[in-house]
Amino acid sequence: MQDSSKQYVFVVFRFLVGAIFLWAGAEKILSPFDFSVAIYNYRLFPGPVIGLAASVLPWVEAIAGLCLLTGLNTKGAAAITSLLLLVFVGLIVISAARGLDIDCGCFGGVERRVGLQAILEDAALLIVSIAVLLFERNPLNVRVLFRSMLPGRVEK
Amino acid sequence: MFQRMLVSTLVKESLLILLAGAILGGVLNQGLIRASFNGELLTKIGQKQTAELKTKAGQIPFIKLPEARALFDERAAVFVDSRSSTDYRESHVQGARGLPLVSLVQNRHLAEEIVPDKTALYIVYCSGEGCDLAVELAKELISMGYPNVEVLGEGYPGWFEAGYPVESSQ
Repeated sequence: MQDSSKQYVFVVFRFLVGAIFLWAGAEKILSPFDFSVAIYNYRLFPGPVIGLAASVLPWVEAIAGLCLLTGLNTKGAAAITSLLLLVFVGLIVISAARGLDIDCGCFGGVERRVGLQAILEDAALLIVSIAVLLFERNPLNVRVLFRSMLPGRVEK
Repeated sequence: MFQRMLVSTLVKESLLILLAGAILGGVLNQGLIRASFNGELLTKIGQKQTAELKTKAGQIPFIKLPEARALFDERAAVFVDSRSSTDYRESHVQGARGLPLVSLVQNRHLAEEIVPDKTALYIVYCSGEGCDLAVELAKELISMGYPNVEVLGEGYPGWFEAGYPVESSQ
């Protein structure tokens, strides 16, 4: 595969991770209390941590997702999505090992139980996110798009 | 030099996203954050989960913790632990019988061995709020002809936190 073709594969990866995080974040932003219940069900965190995480985490997810979709701050966004996915995989593994049969709380409106399937899906998304972090060179973003739309400017 | 610049960009970009998320989330969810610090959030979560559990339970009665303790003292009820065998072995309500829901679903004759008296009053529990094993086990027992089955909503954690008698089978 040629280098430019490879880059477009990474752009697709970037859009994929971005869309999933934007969707997951937006769902939780709409119902932070329900997300706090999901965090509580892990039975690992005290009340203040639950409240702070339920308030801030959805916004971080949504902003990181938006950055990946628009191509702005992509490296930082990919670092955050990778770190979050690593934490999510760890939490799901711990909970599955403790025998908890709970909804993982990953997506507000969609039930997804803690277990092997959720671990494998998140691990796969983690690999994709790390690939974006390490190899994506950002050939398609809104800055380039705006510049190309300005009259009399030619993209070098 | 290039690597240092790359790391610096990475850190700056990440911090920018975290900061934006913290400001937006913090400002728009002040009530939730306040409730989490003064303990109201956990109370609300508990109430929501109990309400959901009661809806799921339908006609099956829920017993309050002090009433369950009174029946325990009078030896007027048999406690049934619906959690996994591992959890049961680790610790359970003193004198409770271990009847994991999964085991009963696989072998319905298990009920005759563990809870042979169909006329007794059974108090079923699991891991408390958010856990529906007790409700599901109660439904199974009622369908098998046990008329007196009640659910302890607070479950084992509530019993343990109240300082009531527990024991281990290890």
